[in-house]
Amino acid sequence: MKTHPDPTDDGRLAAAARAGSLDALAELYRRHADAVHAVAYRLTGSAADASDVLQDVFVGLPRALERYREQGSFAAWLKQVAARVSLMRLRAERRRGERPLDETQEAGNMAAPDLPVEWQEMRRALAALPDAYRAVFVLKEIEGYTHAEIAGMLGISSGAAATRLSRAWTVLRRELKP
Amino acid sequence: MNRHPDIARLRRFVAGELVGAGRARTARHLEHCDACRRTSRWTDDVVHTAALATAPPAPADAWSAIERRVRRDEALILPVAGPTHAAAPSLRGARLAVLALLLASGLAAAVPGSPLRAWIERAVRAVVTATDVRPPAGEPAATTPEVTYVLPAAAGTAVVALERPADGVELRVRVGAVDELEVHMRGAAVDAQVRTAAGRLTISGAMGGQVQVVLPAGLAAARIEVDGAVYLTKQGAAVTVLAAEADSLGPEIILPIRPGGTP
Repeated sequence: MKTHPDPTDDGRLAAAARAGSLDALAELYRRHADAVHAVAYRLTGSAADASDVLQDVFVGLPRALERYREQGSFAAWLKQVAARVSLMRLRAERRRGERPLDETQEAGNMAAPDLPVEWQEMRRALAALPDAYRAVFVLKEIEGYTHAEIAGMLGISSGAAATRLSRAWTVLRRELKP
Repeated sequence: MNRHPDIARLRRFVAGELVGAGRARTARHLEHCDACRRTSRWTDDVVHTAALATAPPAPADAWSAIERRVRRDEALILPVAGPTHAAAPSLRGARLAVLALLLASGLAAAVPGSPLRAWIERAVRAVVTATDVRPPAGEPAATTPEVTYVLPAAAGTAVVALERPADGVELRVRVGAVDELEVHMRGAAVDAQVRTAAGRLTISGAMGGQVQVVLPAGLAAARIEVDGAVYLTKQGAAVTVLAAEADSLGPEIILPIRPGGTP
């Protein structure tokens, strides 16, 4: 049976990690690392980038917690931080010319031959999305953010977020051929 | 609804984000359309599979690397709020300047063709912001050029009138906690001609882009017109939408522009 972390413990652990406890940070990592990694992987489309984001989030967490107000779920707050770090990484790579804005990802980034065929096809289809579209698709459809929240994270309008989502679905329909 | 709703609309319907007449139309369509019900189920499957297929566990060696970096007192500032790019310049000062210019413009309006009026229009149009991010082509975004006009209500009433807009202009309206009526024009709409009079702002010849109107919640009465036809009215807290194909997205009402002045 899977047990869920007690959210009140998250608050206590966050306070301890903010005060410098490495043990508390380790426990937060044990609880939330997979979720943070998944957000980063979905947004960057790269295992290497996702690993880097995961590290950066937890290295910077003690200081970031100084700005954390215990309103709502710690897990949700942490995932939002992970999303922001991932998006910043994408933008920085684009500025350096390492990742063209609207060109498709390398298909190999998300490939994993030992996965079920259906999952492989899905990863290939997601990898075919331009970064700008994949970010909105992931944030809206998988992570459950509103268009307004996505607009805030991406620095675009809600209308643009909706447009990108619509275009993402068009690409996915073409790639997955229902 | 004769046309099939697109996937984005189906997703908004499933998520409960579609409201009012738009929701009822989509629900009626789905009752009778097998193809759209299949498409809707397919989108659910895609989201479910995408979530499962993209959740690899964290790498086993990640914690040891994190621990090393923390022990070295590595300083790292994470973005915990706000947009993920450099913030756009604040519009507060610009809005105050525009307000002052618009007030002066109202006085100048009494003199057709006056040099003062021409100068003011050029100055108002110069309040353009753009960020360093370029969106995909054709997208109405805050990242495209934007002009904001602020209209003081005259005796608690305001009218925003569009004249001869192109079919592609996106007109959005919402009621917000603002003190003055705001009109944000984005994309090609920034090139439209704007005239002001007491409690009235007229936008002529918008060829595209987006016109977003933010009505102050405290405004007693307001009206949005397109080529003389009334598309929306506000009386106190009551907002009445008269445009036939109006839709909503979050707090915004989307008013499709129809040629010939028919709402």
